[in-house]
Amino acid sequence: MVNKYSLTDQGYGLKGNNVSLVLNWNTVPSTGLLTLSHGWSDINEVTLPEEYS
Amino acid sequence: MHSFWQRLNAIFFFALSVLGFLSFLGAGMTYWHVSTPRIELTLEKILLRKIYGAGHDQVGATSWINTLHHRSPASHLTPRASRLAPHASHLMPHTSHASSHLTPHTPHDQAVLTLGIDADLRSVFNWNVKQLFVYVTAEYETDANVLNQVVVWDTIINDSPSVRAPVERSPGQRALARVAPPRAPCRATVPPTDAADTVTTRF
Repeated sequence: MVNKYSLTDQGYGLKGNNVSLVLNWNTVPSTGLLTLSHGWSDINEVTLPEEYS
Repeated sequence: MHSFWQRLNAIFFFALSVLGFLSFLGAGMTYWHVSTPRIELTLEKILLRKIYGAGHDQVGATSWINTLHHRSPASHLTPRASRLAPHASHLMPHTSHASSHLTPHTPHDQAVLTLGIDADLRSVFNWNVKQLFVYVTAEYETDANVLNQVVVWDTIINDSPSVRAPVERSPGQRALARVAPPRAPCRATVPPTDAADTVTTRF
């Protein structure tokens, strides 16, 4: 699926850069503290293209 | 002797205390819950482009900047405007562009991602979990910032049976479909044969 929210840099920081994609999730409990977990075990690191398409 | 209201008060606040105690008990009992989620996160396709607006603007913004840069200056200013400022290619044209409230920004990068998300988060659930808020961040380092974190996708999962969660895998055409319609004029590359007097825009 396509990203819901745009991945936009404030400059030229994306071109040819390494970007890690991480899945995170907040656990909303019925009672207790809201916790945040990260899917560090499955990080997808990609190198963005050097050219604009 | 205890009156009716005294008894009601005692019963009510005793029930409230029990409720509070059970709430802490419930939170404490699932504190040691261990989950073993399975996550498969892939990037199926990526488009990188240079944009000239805020990135979520209307059709006019990017194409307007491009025509301004590539055509001869002041060619589409109104006669009055070009008489006042004949070489003012940085001025906003007063007509013919609906999004005239947008000012030219410095260009910057934008990536359109096609993500393949396949996650099994059923083990995260226990009887004390109401819902999950799942999101994907893109993290990268630039000269300006040590860590840039951008949320590119999210979803809410409410019940554990359907938690084999987030999603259909995308065929990739959707990525193109999203980019192409509003921005088709910006991405057009005119063949070199008749490129002499036409706009050639490269992203």
